[in-house]
Amino acid sequence: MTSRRSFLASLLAASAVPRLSWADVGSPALLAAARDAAGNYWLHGLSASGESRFRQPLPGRGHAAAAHPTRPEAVAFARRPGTFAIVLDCTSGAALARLTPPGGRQFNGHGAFSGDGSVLFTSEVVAEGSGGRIGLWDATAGYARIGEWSSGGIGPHEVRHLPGDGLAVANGGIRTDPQDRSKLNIDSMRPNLTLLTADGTVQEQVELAPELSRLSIRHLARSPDGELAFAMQWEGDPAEAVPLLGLHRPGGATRLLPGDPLEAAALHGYAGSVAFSGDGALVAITSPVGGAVLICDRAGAVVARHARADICGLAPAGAGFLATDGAGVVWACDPAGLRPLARGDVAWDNHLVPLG
Amino acid sequence: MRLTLAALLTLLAPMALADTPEVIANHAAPGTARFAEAAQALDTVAQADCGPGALQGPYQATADAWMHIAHLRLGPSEERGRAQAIWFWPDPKNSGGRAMADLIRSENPVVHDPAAFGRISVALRGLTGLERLLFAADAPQGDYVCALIRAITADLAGNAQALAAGWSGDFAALLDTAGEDGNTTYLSPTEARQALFTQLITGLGYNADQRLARPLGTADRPMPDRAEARLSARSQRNVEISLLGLRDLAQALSPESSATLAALDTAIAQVRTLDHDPLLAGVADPAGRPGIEALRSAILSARETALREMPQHLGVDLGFNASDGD
Repeated sequence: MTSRRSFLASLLAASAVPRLSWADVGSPALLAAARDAAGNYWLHGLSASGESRFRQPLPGRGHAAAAHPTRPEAVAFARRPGTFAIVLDCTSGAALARLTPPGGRQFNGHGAFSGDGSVLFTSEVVAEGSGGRIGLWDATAGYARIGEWSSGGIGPHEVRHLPGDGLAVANGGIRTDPQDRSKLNIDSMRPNLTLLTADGTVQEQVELAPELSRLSIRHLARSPDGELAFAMQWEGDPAEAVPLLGLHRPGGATRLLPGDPLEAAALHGYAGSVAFSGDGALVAITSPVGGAVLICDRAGAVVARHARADICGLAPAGAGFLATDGAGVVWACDPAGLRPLARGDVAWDNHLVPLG
Repeated sequence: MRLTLAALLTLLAPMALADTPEVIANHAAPGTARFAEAAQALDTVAQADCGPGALQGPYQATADAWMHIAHLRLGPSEERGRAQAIWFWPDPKNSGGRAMADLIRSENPVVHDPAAFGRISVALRGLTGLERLLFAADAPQGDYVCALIRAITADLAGNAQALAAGWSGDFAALLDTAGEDGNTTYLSPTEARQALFTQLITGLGYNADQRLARPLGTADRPMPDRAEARLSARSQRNVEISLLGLRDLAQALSPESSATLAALDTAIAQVRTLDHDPLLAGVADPAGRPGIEALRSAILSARETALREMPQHLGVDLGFNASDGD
């Protein structure tokens, strides 16, 4: 039944000025958070060649962002333990909504929109115990909280939307102190990759072998043909060179890379971001700690490792990748090397988020 | 006496050198050259006489030279795992020991093929591999082991030579031309300084968190067996020489950082008080443990001082993402 009130509302919406789109903010290809030389924080929209097409101020250090699929709206998440996320109108910089997790919950730095842009999913923890939740917010109605699901694990970090409106969740497995982020359960942590259906039911969970239980699964990417990649961070003995990149085909097998301990050692136990190449032929992880990007082919062979201090953000681009670093450089990255595309007086933060 | 302008510039040059060029000229290039000479001498002896009696002395000299520059983990040191192929430690699962036992048991002919030997596991090559063959009480012997020793010393000499060549050639040039057109590795002189500063900080951290923290374990459960290079009795010596090398690096990089240099001197004085304990066995001895803990504190304090003092002189910091990831 349509009430008079909602009828009027829909009439208003239909007759409003034409909806703005990402083209109205310069058609950025990517979003990235940054700190400028004066110590202020911004969310930038970047072109495919690394130029800043817009920037809007953030109230504090950002972590990742989620881009609405059609409207020029970005959700900027605070770093863990996050008490807020802001929905920015990227044309004006206006805060369209300020999201606050329900009592006793904290945002965990990442979120994703549903394919049609109607729902925003946020990764959250219950502050006491770090039990994972996925928050659901109505992006058609001012981002009202409309529900939550279990994330299927402890300490979820990145969440990624899958075709068919399922979600992939990287449950990092680490219980943290709600105030200072100190890690409380390294001896017993059990991270997993969880696939949720469109109604939040656990469809599949991937756990690693017991000797790799200290590999925190944290970041995700999806290939054009549906394979998932996950980037991990090692909480075990730093002297052990362990694989930091996982590949999992839903319903199928899981592979861990790189197999060569020398290549793994160069990453110093820490992968910060993961992406497939634009054509899906390659998959890569960055390590700001090791100062390296490692590129593998889909068969699992290491095809290149390039050194660059503080490199972290990574996104698909053509047959290769784009990458960002703390010195303000946007790089074109492929097996042949790193090529600087653009340079600004900013420190690019952890992630480079593709639009669309 | 008439001085030409060129001669005058030559005389002034050492004073005019700053940070990156000085690190190359006063620390990295001569240090890696000394290491290459020592490794070559070790190989020359090994090819003539593969017995431990002949090799232990040149081994120690080569290890000394390595410890002085081992913290330079960039450029030629990172190519194809070269630093690990020279010195592989820690090895908590004894992968080197197991791989070496397999190799000897099967008398793998790879020891007769230098190129192929350069591709086998780093865990059984280099000085740490050689240590097992020269210093272990139950070290295996025989013709095959002799061939293995010679393969390791030849591989080591080649890696040392490549390291020295990089620091006197291509890689030094890359650091020296930071910010110039075509240099896509270091986009500004600050980036080159930052890379060298990172080596200092990481090197200090490695001494504190690996060389000392591993054997220290906890007060309730010290782990003396985890000390580095126990077979060759270098556990304390490695820390001492490493600190001397790191002080050279700091002096060349930022001579005005007097608090950092003083803190490094304090740490060096402390490690020298432990020269009676080459294995750092004192970690498990109530009388010996405080001195080793004090050394670790002194090293961490030097690291903190460098982090506080040097960025202002060098215009650098630790990476935005590297130091606070998620």
